[in-house]
Amino acid sequence: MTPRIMIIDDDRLTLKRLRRLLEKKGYKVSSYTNPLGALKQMENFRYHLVITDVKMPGMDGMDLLINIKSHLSATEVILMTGYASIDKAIEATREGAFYYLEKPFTPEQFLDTVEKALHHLQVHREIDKSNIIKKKESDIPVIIGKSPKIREIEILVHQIAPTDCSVLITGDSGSGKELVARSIHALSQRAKGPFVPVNCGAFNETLLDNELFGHEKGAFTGADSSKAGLLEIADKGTVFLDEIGEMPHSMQVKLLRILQEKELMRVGGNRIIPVDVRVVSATSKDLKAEVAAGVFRKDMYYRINVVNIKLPSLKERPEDIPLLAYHILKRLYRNGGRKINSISPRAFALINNYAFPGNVRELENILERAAAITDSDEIRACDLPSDLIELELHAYQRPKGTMMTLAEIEKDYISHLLRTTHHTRTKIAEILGIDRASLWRKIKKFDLD
Amino acid sequence: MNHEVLIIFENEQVFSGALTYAREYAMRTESRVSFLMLVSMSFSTHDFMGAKRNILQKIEAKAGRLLAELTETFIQKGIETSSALRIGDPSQEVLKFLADRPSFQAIVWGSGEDLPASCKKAVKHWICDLAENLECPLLTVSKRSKKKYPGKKGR
Repeated sequence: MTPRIMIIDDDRLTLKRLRRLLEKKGYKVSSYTNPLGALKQMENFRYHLVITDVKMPGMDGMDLLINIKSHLSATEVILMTGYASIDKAIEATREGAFYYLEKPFTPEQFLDTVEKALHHLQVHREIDKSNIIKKKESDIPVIIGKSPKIREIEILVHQIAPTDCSVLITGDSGSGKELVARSIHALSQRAKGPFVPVNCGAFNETLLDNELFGHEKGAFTGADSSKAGLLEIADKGTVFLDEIGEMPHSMQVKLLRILQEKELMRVGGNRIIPVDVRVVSATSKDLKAEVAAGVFRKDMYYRINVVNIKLPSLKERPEDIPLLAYHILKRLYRNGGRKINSISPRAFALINNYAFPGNVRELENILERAAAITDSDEIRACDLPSDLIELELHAYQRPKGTMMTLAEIEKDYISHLLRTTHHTRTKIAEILGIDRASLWRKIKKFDLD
Repeated sequence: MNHEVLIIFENEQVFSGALTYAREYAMRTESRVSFLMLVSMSFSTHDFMGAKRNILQKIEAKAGRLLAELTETFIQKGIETSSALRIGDPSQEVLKFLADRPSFQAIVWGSGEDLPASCKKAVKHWICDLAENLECPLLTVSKRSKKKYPGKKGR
């Protein structure tokens, strides 16, 4: 949909000049010299962006901003003024203005600010859309993303959650395995029961034994009282076995028996305790290879791997980075952090070009740090870690699982070119040695637009 | 948990950019860092082992000192480190080293910034071939030239 923009300025010449600039870029523009008339028009039509002068007869830009934000919170507002002051700028952003543009400005500065505001609006709209779905489904954790891989996972999660089958989630560290597990639990019939996460890599064999199965009083030195194990605690709920590939072989035997018999005995006890748990496991290891190497039990592998969900790394879904970034910034703000309205194009380019070996967790860390150190409402390149600014990273990795098809390689390469050339299609067509129409068809076919 | 990064050096060549990246990355993701120093040496000749013993001792002392220097800045930042020295065929030694350890989150090439160019040549650097068989990504670091600065034009 073409963005609808309204400009309000009592100076007719400025109004005409700015209108022409925006129309050249293909935006639908309405212009008004009278702010009251503009407000009336806004009641009938929805505008995505309002650009207004501050000093005007009848109503000043600040009052107009407050009026717009109280009735039309989804509309972004840019204020323009020839009498800029820091106090006024702070006040304007506090009232919800996207930007406080100081006159005189160049056409490039003006268009750049407009583009940023519209981009900001678009990303927020997508996050809000996913938040609406989230609220409807009683606060079920959702993986943020619009990439086809994430959409497939969302569908799969909704399909398998109501069943009681075991699920194995695989993916690199930091890719959101626990989030998916929580989502499965929240959508299942066990949602009212407990969700108990256990990190199998964090305990040695004896400790894991004690944690999972619990112990009776006097089972060992220091066991002053009886303790229920995590499997018992997870009764009627879900147990999430993270890093299951790290589980010792002997422990796998015990756990397998419990999963089959649906009953356990505490360490040092002789009482059989029935347990009704759903098992969702996760690993960043190639468990199939571990089975082949004899490190992981084959029967255990088949028991926990009834359904396999393979999470893509962040590098495999770069189109989700903007959505994730704004989602993280919103969450930081909700948790008492600074309000960040935008990420500068340079900062965005640096983030987009980074390989993210630490996945979403690393993106979160980078943005959290940047939001803490920035002195404005925008994250700029200088707020990012120095290694991202000064160093360039190349990542080499074999394609996981089956080899890529020609279409997958083609799609990957075109999306890489779209990123690196900042969507300059003429340049991409030139690099690929095809005409622009063929490129357009390919972009459409692979849903890269 | 595989919150561990491996940084590989070959023949005592150290690229400071790679060290900076590994340090920053480890701090961001609260990872441990392992240093692996590889020194090429062929053991397949008919030389007497005694003749090589002296050389090996010298290499061990020199590389040991270097590894201690390299890990120091990481330890100062509170990053947990470990280091290892392997002498022999680098490619084989890396595989043997990886086989003995839990998987890493990333491997950083620490001996220079010209690896991407080398990987495009007909006779590739050994690590380029190895990268295809690694579980985790192999990362090479180079200094960003002003020309390469993304997004600069768009502003």
